[in-house]
Parts: sequence; C-alpha cells; structure tokens
Amino acid sequence: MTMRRLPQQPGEVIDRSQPLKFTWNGKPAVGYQGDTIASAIAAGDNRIMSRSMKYHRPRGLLTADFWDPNAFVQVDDEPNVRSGHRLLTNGIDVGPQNVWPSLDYDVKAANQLVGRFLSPGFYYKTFIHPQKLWPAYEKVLAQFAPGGTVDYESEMAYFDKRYTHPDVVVAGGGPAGLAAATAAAEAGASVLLVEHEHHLGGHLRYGTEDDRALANGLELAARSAGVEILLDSTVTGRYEDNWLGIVQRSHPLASERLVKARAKTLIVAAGLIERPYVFEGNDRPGVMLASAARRLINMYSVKPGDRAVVLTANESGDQTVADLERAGVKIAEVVDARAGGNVTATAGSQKAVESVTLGDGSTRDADLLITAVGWTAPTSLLNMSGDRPVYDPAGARFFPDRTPDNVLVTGGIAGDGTLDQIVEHGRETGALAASRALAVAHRLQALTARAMPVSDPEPAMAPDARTPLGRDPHPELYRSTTHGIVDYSEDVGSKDLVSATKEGYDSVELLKRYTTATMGPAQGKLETVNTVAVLAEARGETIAEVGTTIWRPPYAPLTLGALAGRIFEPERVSSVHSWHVANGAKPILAGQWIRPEHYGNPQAEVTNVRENVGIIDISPLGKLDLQGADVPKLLNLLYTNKWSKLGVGSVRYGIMCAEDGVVMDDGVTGRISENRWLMTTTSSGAGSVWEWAENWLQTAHPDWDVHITPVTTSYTSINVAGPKSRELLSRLTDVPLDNDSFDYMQVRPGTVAGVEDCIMWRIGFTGELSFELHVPAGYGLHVWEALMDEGADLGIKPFGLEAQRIMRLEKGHFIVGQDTDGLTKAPTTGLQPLIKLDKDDFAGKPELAWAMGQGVGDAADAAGMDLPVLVSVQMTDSSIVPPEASQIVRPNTNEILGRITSSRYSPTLKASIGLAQVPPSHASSGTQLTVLLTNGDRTTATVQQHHAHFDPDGLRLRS
Amino acid sequence: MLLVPCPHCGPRNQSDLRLLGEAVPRPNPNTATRAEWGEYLYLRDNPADYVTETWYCRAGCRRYFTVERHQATNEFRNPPLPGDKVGNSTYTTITVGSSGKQRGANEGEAS
Ligand SMILES: [Zn+2]
Repeated sequence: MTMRRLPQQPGEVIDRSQPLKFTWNGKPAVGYQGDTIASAIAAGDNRIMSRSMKYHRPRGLLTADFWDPNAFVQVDDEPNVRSGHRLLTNGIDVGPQNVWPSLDYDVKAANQLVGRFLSPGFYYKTFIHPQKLWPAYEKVLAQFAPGGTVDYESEMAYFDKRYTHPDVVVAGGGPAGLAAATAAAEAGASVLLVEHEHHLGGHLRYGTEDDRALANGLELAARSAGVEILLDSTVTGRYEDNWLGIVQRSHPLASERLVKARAKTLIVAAGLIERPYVFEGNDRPGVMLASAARRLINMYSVKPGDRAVVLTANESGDQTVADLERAGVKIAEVVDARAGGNVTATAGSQKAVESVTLGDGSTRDADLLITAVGWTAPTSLLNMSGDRPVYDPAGARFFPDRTPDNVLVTGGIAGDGTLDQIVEHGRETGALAASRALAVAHRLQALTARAMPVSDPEPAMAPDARTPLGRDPHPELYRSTTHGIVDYSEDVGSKDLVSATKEGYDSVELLKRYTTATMGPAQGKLETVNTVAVLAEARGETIAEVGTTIWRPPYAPLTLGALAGRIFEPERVSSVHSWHVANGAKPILAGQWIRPEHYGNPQAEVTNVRENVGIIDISPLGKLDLQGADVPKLLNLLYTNKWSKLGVGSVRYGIMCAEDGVVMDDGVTGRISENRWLMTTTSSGAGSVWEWAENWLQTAHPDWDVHITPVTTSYTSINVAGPKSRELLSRLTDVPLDNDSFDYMQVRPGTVAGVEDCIMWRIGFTGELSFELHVPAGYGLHVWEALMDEGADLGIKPFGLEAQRIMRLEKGHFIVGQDTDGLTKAPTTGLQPLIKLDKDDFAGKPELAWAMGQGVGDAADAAGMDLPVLVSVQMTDSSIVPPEASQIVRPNTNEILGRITSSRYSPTLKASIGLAQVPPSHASSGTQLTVLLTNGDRTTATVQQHHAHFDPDGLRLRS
Repeated sequence: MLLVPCPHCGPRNQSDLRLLGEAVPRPNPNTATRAEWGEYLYLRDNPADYVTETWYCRAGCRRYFTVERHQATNEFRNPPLPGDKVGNSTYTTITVGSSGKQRGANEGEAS
C-alpha cells in the first residue's frame, strides 16, 4: 500500500510524534494526533470512503471537512460520524456505511443499473398501493435505509447544558470574526466567539505562510483581549432577542454541551462554503473541491492524487495549483473558467477518475479533478434573523439584505475584499456590536425600571458607518453542459430535478421536498444553490427570480443527546420516603412526586383499611395557608359553593371552575382559627390553584386582605383510615376524638406523637372513619413511625395510591382530570347542590347558570346544552375490568355514547366497578350500557343508583 | 425565546413567565349575555400592532403584570414604572380569563 503522507508541511496541524492506531474497513491503519479520521484514511491511500445512499456508488472525499457528504462512517458503536471533521483517536474501529457486503463490492450497487426506477418520488409512487402491503414494504425498504448501525447496547453518555449572557456572540472564527471579537472585547464588551472547526483562522489555516501568520496574530489578539473562545462548536440557531443555541462538541467532560446564550448583539461571520460543480461523473472518487485539496495538503500533509486537472474560477483555485505542485502532484491541465474553460465529464472505473473531458471535447489522463467554481454564503443565521438574502449574478452568490439592529454581518458572507479590508471590516463590526450592546442593555433596563430605575437617557442605537465590503466579480458556474449529482448525500441528480420540475414541482420549496435535494445531512450547505440554479435553468428564469429556500435551525445537525441534555426536572419525595423504600414500596411517578403505589398487595391493603386501620402518605396533596380578613370573599369567588358562614373548626368540600364553567380542581378547606384557613387542592393542582387565586387577588381584588402561602411541602400529610383509626390516634394525641368533640367534617389543631402544631381533619376520601394529619414536615417520619408502632396490635398496615384509588372508586368519588376532562362542566359531576347561583359572583358563574337552565338570555338556548352525566357503573361480568377510557357504544353499532373514566376490581364488593360519562338518556339507574373493549369484544355494565358503590349513606365515615 | 421585561425582576426568559394573552375586561357575571361572556372567554382582536397583555412571572416574583407588546415585532413598551400601584387601579384591564392552562394535569390524585 502506498502511503500518501507528505514530508512535513509548514502549516500542518498533525503531531508526528504521536502516532495513533486504528482500523479502517477491518484493516489496521495509522494516523497522527491532529488528523481527522478522513485525513488519516486518505493518508493510507484509500480513495473510497463510502457508498452513496440510493445507488450505492463508490464515493471519495469531496470537501474533506464537516460538510463532506461522502465521509460518513461508523466509529465503534456510533453511526454517521463526520470523518472529515471528527478527530482521530487511538484504538477506534472505523467502518464504511451503506455497504453490503463490502466497500469494494456492493450488491445494491445494482440499484444504479435500474436507476430510472429510483426517479424522484419513486417511493411515494411505487409503494403507496395496496395499503395492506405497507408492513411488507417497510421491511424491504428498511434494508435499503442509509446510515450506520445503531447499537442499542451503547453506554449512556453525559450531555451538559450551559446558560450564558455575553454582550456579543461572534459566529465564526475566521479573520473577520476574530477581528470583530477582538474589537468588541477591547471596547469593553464580554464576547463569546464560536468556531465550527478545530482551529481558528478559517480559510487562512490552509492558506499561505502569510495567511497563517495573520491567523496566528489575530488569534493571539483575540485571546489577549479576553474573548472566550469555543472551538469545535456551532451556533445552530438564532431565535427571538438573540437567543442562541450553541452546540459545543469539544467539551472535555461531556459528549456534547448545549450552550444557550442570550447575546445583546450577534455577529455573523460564518465565511463561505465552497460549492461543488455539476457535471457527468462529478461524484467519482478523485473529484474534489479546491479547498479540500488544500486542507489535505497544507493541514494534514496528505497528497490527494498523482495527476490533476484543475478547473479554477477564482484565486483560491489558482493557489491550489501551487499547493498541488509543491506536494508533487503533476498538473495535467489548468482549466480557467474565467477564460471560458470548462469540464464536462470524468471517465474511469467505478472507483476512480482516470480521465477528464474538457469543454472542448479533449480529454486528459488524470486521477484527480479539482474544482474551484465559487462559493455559497451560509446565510442560515441571517435567515433566522428575518433576513432574506438577495442573489447577485455578478458575484455569483447570495448577499445579506437587511438584518435587525442587533445582528451584524462581516467577512466573506458580507462581501469581498483584500485580507486587510476584511479584517478592518471585522474590527469596525466588532466596535459597532459593542456599542449597540450598550444600547440594547439600556433599553432592557429602562423597560424594567420598577426593578432598577434608570435616569440617564437612552443612548441612540449607533448607526452603521462601516466601510462596506466590495463584491468581486465571479463567473456563474453551477452546471456544466452535462448532468451530474446535485445532492451527494441524497443521491439526487440534476436530471432528477429537471424531470421533477416537468412533473410540476417547479417551486423550490416543493422541489426540495419532492426530490429530497438539500434535505440530507449537509443541510443544504453544498447543494442548495445548485438546486436553485438547475431549477432556474429548467424554468428558463434567473436564480434571483426563482429565489432560495429559507434556512431554518439547526445550522448544522446536532445530536438528540445534545438537545435532551441534562434535564432540570426535580423529583419530589416526602419526608417518609426513606421508610417507603425500606419497606418495599413499589414507586410510581405522579407528576414530579415519587409515591408508593403499593407495598405488595393493594387488594389486601384495601381489605385491611376496611377491617382494621391503614395509613397512607398523602404529602403531595396541595396545601395553601390562607390568612386575612377577606379570605371568605376569596373562597366564595373560587369555589362554587358558599363559605361566609364556615365557622372555626369546620371543614367544607368545594369544587372550583374556570370561567368557562369547566371543573378545574376540588378539595376541602378548613377554618383553623378566626383568621387562618387551610385549603387543600388536588396534588397536581397545587401550583395552578395557587396561581389562579393569586390572579384574582392581584388583578381583580388587590384591595382584599388575603395572604396566601403555599405549604404543600411544609407539612407531611398522613391519612389514618379504618374503623380502628380513632383508637389508634387516641393513643398519640390528647385532642378528644369522639363524635361529640370532633365530628365528621371538622378540623382540630393539636399535638400528635409529641409533635406540636399538627392539623387534623376528619374527612373520608376512602369512605372509612379517618383522620387526615398534617404534621410539620421535619417530624413527618417520626409521626409515621409512631403510628406504625402504636397500631401494631390493631393490625395497622401502610397502603399506597392504588388502594386509595380502589377505595375512592368504591365510594364513587371522582378525580378531577380523570373522571372529568377539559369540557366537563360542574353539573356533570352531579354536585348541583354545591353550585350556588344565588351568590353574587364566582368564577364561571354565568356558564354554570346557563348549564343549569338559568341565567341571562334565552332559556331555550340554555336548554340546548345536553351535558354528559357522571354515573357509577358495575360490569355484568365481574371478571372483566375494562381499561379506563373504554368507549360506551350503542348495542349494535359503534356510535360512541360515552366512556368509562375509571375502573377497578373492588375487593370489598367482589365486583368490577367504575365511573363513566354518559348522555342524560343513559344516566338513570338500571340502564344497561354496552362497553367496547380494546380487543373489539363487547361487554355490558349497569348504571348504579348512587355514585357510591359502597356504604352510600356514609355511615362508616361518620361512625 | 422572548426576553420579557418583568417590572420587578428585570428581563427574564419567556419560559420563566406565563402569557395569559391579550387583556380584556371581565363582564359583569350577573348581566352578561352569552355573546358577551363568550367574547370575554374566547375572542381576541390579535392585531399586527401593540396589544396590552398579561404576564405572570411564575419563576420569579410571582406577580401578574400587564405590558404592551407589538405582535409583529415583539417590541415591548409601557410596563409598570416605579410609583405605579399594582392592581386594577393602574392596570388597564382585569384579566381573570379561562385559559384552560389553569387546570391541573391529568395524572392528578385527589384526596
Ligand atoms: Zn418577576
């Protein structure tokens, strides 16, 4: 095997003292520290990097950087690695993708022989009928799906997030970006510079000795000025108010880090991306961009071929000729496009260029064809800032049009000039950005002057007085006289685009989606403008007339891991959590809370509560401490029932509706002392009810004397339930618990198990005699353990959420959000007596009046509301528990009448019970309902007389 | 993501706050017709212009405030200033509307 590594080059970025071993395509290989995977593979004289996704054509390096569409490889268990960008590390196993059975011989390459079948829209048109064959199609097509192999056993990786608020963010660390960052920092701004590649300096890095000297000087200046520099990082998106997503691939401790930056000004200095040329055989290995050849030679000391034809239309192409000669590559021909020269085709084997056909029809023997036909301005971040770049035929590329005040553009994406002019433009841009950052900061502060008053007048937004960059003339070179590949990653050719245009997909956005051109992992950076140019040609219009697609985030693809990153979602546990864990509780996540679902046997837990006594940790129950003289007014406003006469020591149940009459929450509120109430809400409603109450207080009734403190986590809440609960609790408190002293629906403060300031309610969600304790959270575990100890001889057992769900269903209590939904108005729950329309005002009052056939306006209008009714049901077959949300249908059709909202097997009643929403016509006791099960079977259920299946008169909880 | 000028906390990410939408006055619940109440609940003008809207600073000061925002450019103006009283004496409108967002999530457990 020939090695293509050159002797030491003056600008090389590899460290020859540090060789790295790896395998490529199953064979041992070696590279150096600083190599990209692709440069190391190329140094081993490997020309074929991959096979293309549709036709499985052999492909070689095209751009030799991040965007290279032909250089996706599998690295160990990681698929789709960009080998033109990823640095080589020791010991990795690198393999090609889209090859079967091997890189050199590929069966699916037969696809290209039947290429006409894979015309645009082939999959849409071919595999649409018959629908029943879709699963079969999917199996076959999956074999042909491109990309690497996902290893489901891969280890988890750590992805991080960071938030930062720099004055100025510079996207791009080429000469203009470096100069801009330095100038902004020197003007006093905090500056974050984000460079996509591993080195600063942009194209200077693979340029001449002078270029590299300039890059080094600019880098030193930026570092001295205190610019924070992120290498191997990309600004992937720009959103409102310069909210920027930056993916940092180079973080030493994380696979990737997503940096969310809020910049006062953004400088886009993304440079230019060299554009491939479209002609016959333009994807044969050996056809390469000028910038790719220069990278390989000057940065990685790799000789890209032996004998080259160079098609050049610009200075960069001209310089490539010099680089190639220095590297010992023979120059077969330099074709100057500015003088009308052209290239129309390559010929050779599948695997390599052997000859090049020039515009005049003559051929040259060569194994390398270098093209330098122009640049694409990667205007993604400008698009995301609202700019619509404009095509200039004289410069043969798109230029920025108008950006918001807080987004500035510099460098090659903004225009052309000498290096001195580019650097000067960068410096002026940096100074302007720093000045505008001050104005933005002042504006923000003035808007929030209640927090921090400002007295000085707002500085004017500095005008743009920069010397504009020029525009060098450049020939328009997109497609030669022949057809070739336009989108390498999607295997879409110019012929495909022309035929799709003829089929009517003649707008760029349609064409893109129909052919998938520009939709591959190069993200349009290489192929968008060529696509537009071919379309323009097919339509007989100019590129400006056709326009371009709008580039949306992300600028460069990023991993899902980076997007997911660390999740800042807290997990909440009660003070008794350690006991639950130690005692075998099966955890369940309820909202943010980790709660015991059961301790082994929920049915037995139910039976124990019904027969003896059980305790459940209900700490997540929402709790709000209400104080102030106007609390009754607030309660009257929030709940549908009346609260003015609730005396000290009493507890009342209520439901809350939103202004549209839909049930929002429910719970009990008790008056603990003259000016103090404790409100409980559903666990999931704890936050929203607080916000809702504050909304009324702050906006509608700021004059009311009410203070709300959320105390959900200040208390550990324990429900002691069962016929022996009074006996148990009496052993731990001096508060009299008999019916005369402490009746049902009453509240008492007191000391429990030596803990002062506990609050006890006597209420009964489970249907049993029960006491709900709210204990200062620091003593929650102590009280819980005291209850377990004292209750040992009474048969005490803990019970979990599942047992509570069964018992509440046995009692027919509905759960807001489960048995009600976003359309359930209060009367549906059957609690009409709790809706007091004679109150002056409460949330949702008019809607509830109309729902109950009263209220302002036409009574007939109101009567038209046929609200569903919540009913209790029992299945005819007690062995069938229909899944919640099972449909209730007409007996002989699939017409949906309602649904089962809750269902459980009741160990107490030995019956399958549930709650259901049904139309009024099916709500009366004894009605037979047909329930459609998920497997298509039908079963029947009967509407019960009471919501409560068990103890409908509530004798047990009053006992 | 917008930068919202909370008058108490300073500029905060939009995700720290909750937008309650364009502020509209609440009709008298005892005399409102169905049309008037329906308009209060569901209908907003949505002009390409400044609207007065209500924000709730849920991850900060937990205050409700109104501010004008241009719905085309997202520029803010006229937030409450020092000396302004909080509440409907200075806030132009009352904004206790049903948004659906006020309701609890579905996995809730009552007690
Ligand atoms: Zn705030």
